[in-house]
This record gives sequence, structure tokens and C-alpha cells, in this order.
Amino acid sequence: MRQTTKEAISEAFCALLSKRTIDKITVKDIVAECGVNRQTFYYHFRDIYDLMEWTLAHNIGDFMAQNLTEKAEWQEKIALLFHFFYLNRILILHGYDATNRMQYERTAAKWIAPFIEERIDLYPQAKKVPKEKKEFICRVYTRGYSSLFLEWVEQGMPDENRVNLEDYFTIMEGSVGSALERFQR
Amino acid sequence: MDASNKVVRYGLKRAFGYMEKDPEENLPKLMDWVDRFAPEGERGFPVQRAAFRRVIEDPGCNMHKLMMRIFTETDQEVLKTVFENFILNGNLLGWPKQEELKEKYGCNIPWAILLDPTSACNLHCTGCWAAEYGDRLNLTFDEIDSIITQGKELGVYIYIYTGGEPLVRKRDLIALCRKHHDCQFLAFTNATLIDEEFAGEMLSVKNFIPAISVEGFEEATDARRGKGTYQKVVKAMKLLKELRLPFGISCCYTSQNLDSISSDEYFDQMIRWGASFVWYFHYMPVGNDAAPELLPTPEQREFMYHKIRQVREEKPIFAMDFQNDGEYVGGCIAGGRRYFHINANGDCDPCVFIHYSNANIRQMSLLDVLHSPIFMAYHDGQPFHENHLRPCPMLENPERLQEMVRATGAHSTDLQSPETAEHLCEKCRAYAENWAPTAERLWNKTWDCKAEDERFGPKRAG
Repeated sequence: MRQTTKEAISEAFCALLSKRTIDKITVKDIVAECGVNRQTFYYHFRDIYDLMEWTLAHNIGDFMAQNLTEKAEWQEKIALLFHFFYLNRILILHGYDATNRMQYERTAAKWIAPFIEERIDLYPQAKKVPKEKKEFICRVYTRGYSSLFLEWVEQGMPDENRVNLEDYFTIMEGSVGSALERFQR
Repeated sequence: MDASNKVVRYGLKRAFGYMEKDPEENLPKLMDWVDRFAPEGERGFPVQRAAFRRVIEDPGCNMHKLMMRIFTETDQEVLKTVFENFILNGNLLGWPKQEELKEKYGCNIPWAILLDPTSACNLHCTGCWAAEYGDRLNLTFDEIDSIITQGKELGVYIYIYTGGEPLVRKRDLIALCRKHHDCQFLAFTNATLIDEEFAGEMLSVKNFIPAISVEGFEEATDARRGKGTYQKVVKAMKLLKELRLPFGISCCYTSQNLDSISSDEYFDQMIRWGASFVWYFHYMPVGNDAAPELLPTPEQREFMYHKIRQVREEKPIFAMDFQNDGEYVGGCIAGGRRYFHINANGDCDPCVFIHYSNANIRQMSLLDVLHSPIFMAYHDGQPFHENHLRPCPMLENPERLQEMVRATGAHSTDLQSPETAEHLCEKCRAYAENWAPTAERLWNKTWDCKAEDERFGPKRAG
């Protein structure tokens, strides 16, 4: 029940976001669109940016659940995530302003980090590296992908081929192993 | 250092993050950040900060043990929010703003606002007006939202719900917590409506702390509040403790129950339940059907005076008694000096116990309320007595309240049975006369101790 109210609010928000940017949308507009009252909105979300973050995370979750296969390589997973961003570029561009840059970065990083962690653990050297060093390596590479994402958003999200994902995969494949070696106990 | 400085604020939050790893080691570092964050001079709480530092650096003292207990028994995210909303926003940031606006507007600016979301209650306790009060009044979500929005403009970040039973409106209260996530909310509650779902919401908003009314053990509680109530309350406290949510207890002491609720056994029980603080309220003979015989005797009140001070020295729970702790807050804090009360009808009372007003929040702004006649009479009249053990214009100085009500034309806002100020104050006259000699003796002793501290410096442990 609660989940559906949240989703209803989120869907109404997406409908508005397809027409105009986040700074032109008020809580009043959203509750009018989905027929709940103001207090119900605040029961679920602290403000519109909170709703944006939830919507993004929720929609990514749905998309990945539908499209991600067990056997997918880590590169495919990251490429799939960027494909989601591309498919939803209107929502993402309309929802983006100076206030939620951090939220976008956080949302992207939250998805990317486990894929990278998975890749790192496949290296034989990984077993000999302390956990916090592996986490650090993971953070550095994650940061690279989320920065590519934000840069792309800033440019208005043109064709996804313009994001140098492939090049970044190449850099990563070539350097994770040596990074792990340097951190070996 | 400028309190609004974002960099310092960020540093403070980071410093607080280190607490998780090793509070014993990192607390002094956090205190360094707080010192950098605090505004210069009197407004930056130099005395309080010095006291905190002494507590932090002295592992043997009781307050140190209490702090460590709170650090280890509370959810870390909740603790961070309380630190940010209560300590940073509510005090270090809010207080200097309140002081500044107090001068600018020439009226009291509160530190906290108490409000009744509803007059309704789910229990029907003997002697409680909410039980008899049929017609249910509510402040709407939008009205409370507006009060908080206006309050924040004045630097007020602390909101305390009273009632009625505030949790009758628990969905709206959670919505308000979420919307005003920079504020600290507390609620006086009977706790019977705290279930798993609500506790989960508390954990998600992180800025809601209940002060649960428990006045003694099972028999006394159930006799007054209905069979099974005690077990419900105990269950709620168990749930809060399991989820590592902070909570306190509030007790009203009367001539009848004082012995039981001030016993060591009871304090130890409250600590076992998991309460971080306990607020004691002196019984007030308010209302046409009040029972003045429930007023504590001077001997009983003096006993409480010593007991609470002893508990603060000895037990890991923070105990306060508003009527006897006036020395720490400069006497009466009502009338907006540090707080005031808005009832479920929108009437703005100077105090939760003083139901006389010329102002209703539905018709005027918060700032206009603070400028209304009885609030200005409080502003001009405080402190009502130089002896802070006689702080109240009703209980210890009943002639003062009658005077103020007469001079300002404030009307009774009692929702059930309006009472004249004369009738109310008459019930306090004998009490005030009887208490005065004890108050004088205790006060003179306090001053002798303080003078000694000033001459020889604060006492050091060891």
C-alpha cells in the first residue's frame, strides 16, 4: 500500500517532468496531478529533490531488474546503466540543476560500485589486498564513471556513444591489476 | 568563527562521523570543532562549552558515563541528526539569531515552541481534561507547517508536541518531521500508539524523540490510566530500545506519588527501560476541578531539589525538574522567553500551564503573537522573582499573574471550563507563602556555593 502511494507520487512527478524542468514544479502541482494531499506527499518525501532521487533509484532498479542477466560482464552492466540514462534523458535533464548534482552522483555511484567491486574481486591478486585498499581502488574507478555521467548530463546528454565508456573500460582493465599488486601485503 | 560557515559545518559533521569508531578518543576532537563553530562571546555558550569539555575529559564523572551510554546505545544516524538539528541548528545557530531578533523586535523570541496537534486522546485517564473534552480540535498540517516555517525564520529549530495525545496524528507528525528535516521534534506522549510501523518511520526521519509519560509502576499506572496501559508503555519502550531510538520519560510529581517516582528503584528502572532523560513536572493546580491537595509540601519539594541534583551526580540518566532548575535558565522561561504554547484551537498561551491569551495563530503571525499584550507583560516582567527557586508568576508569585491578566485583558483559553486568574491564583497563595522560607534558605546556600566556586575556581575531580 505504502509502496503504491510512493509510486503514484513518483509517476505524477515524471509526467510533469516530461513537460517542464524541476525548478518549475511545485509540491502543489504534484499532489494535484495524482490526487493526494500535501501531508501525504511529505509523509513519503522530504522535498522534490528527495522525490527525484527516489524516482531515479526506483526506475533504475526496475530497468536493471528487467534487463540485467546473471551472465552479463561488468562492462555490459555499466553500459546498460548508461543506456538507461540515455533512454530517460528527458527526465534526467529536466530533473537536474545545481542543487542535486550530489544526488545524481550518489545515485550513479551506488549502482556502479558493486559492478567494479565484482570485477576487482575476480583478479587473483585481490585476495592478498586488504579490504580497505580494495574499497579505495573501487572508489577511485567508480568516481571516474560517475564523473563521465555528470559531464555528459552537463553537455545535454547527446548520443550515448559520445561517452568514452569503451576507453575507460580499456584503462581500467589495464590498470586494476597493477594497482592491486602495489597494495599487496 | 561564523556559525553559518558551510566549511566548518561540514568539518563538524565529519568530526562527528569519527565518533562511531571510538567515542572516547574522538569526543575531544569533536569538541575542538564545536569550539571553532561557536560564535564569539557570550552567544557562543562559552560556559556550557567549558562544562562539556570538563565532562569529556573526565571519564570518572557521571555525565561522562551518561554521554558514553547515549553514544553506544543510540543509532548513529539518529545521533548525527540530533547533533545537527538540536546542537547545531537549535542552539549554536538558533540561539544567537534569537538573541539578535529579540533586540531588533523588542520582544521575546523563543528557543522552542510547544504545540498541541490535537486535543484528542486515545486514553481516558482519571483527572485528565482530554478525557472529558468531547469536541475534538486539531491544528491542521498546513497550520503546523506554517508555524514551523515562520519559526525557522526567527531561528527556532526545536518543536515540542503536547496535547491531547500528539500521536493520534502520527502520520502528519512524520510528514512534518520529513519536511522540516533541519528541526528537532519532541513529543509528550503516552506511547501506546508507538507500534513497529511508527518506530520504523521514526528511524527513517531521525528527528523525532518521544518523552513518554510514565508515573510509577504497574499498579499506579493502570489504576489511573486503564488496565493494560502499563504493559503497552513498557512494550513501546522495549521496541524503541531495540531499534536504538533515543527517548525520555516525563513524570508529574504530586504529594501522592512523589515518594514512588523519586526512588532509586524507579531511577534504575527508567535506565533499564533505556530512557536517556527524565523530565519532572511539579503538579500545577490548573483548571476549575484541580486538586490543590496534590501540591507537594515544601519538604517534599526540597527533597526533589536535592534528589534531582544527586541523580545528576550519580546516575547515567539526565534528570531535570523545571520548577527547581530555574537557576540554570534565569527563572521563568515562558511567554516566549525560551518557549510558549499553542493549543489545538490555535490559542497562543504564554506557558503550557497558563491558559490566558490575547492571540490566536490562525489570525496573526508568530511575530505578532510575541508582541501581543500578555507576551509583552511576560517580557517586561521577567524574571518574576530574583530567587530562581520561585520562578513562576502563578505557583510562587500568584499576584503577578493576576496583575498581568488584568492589565492585558487576556482571556481564558481553557478548552473545557474557562477559569478566572483569581480563582487559579487563589489556589497557589498558601503554597507560595509556605514555600518562600525554604526557597530563601536553599537559594542563599546556592549563592554561597557559587561565590566559593568563583573564588577558588570550579571543582576538579581527583
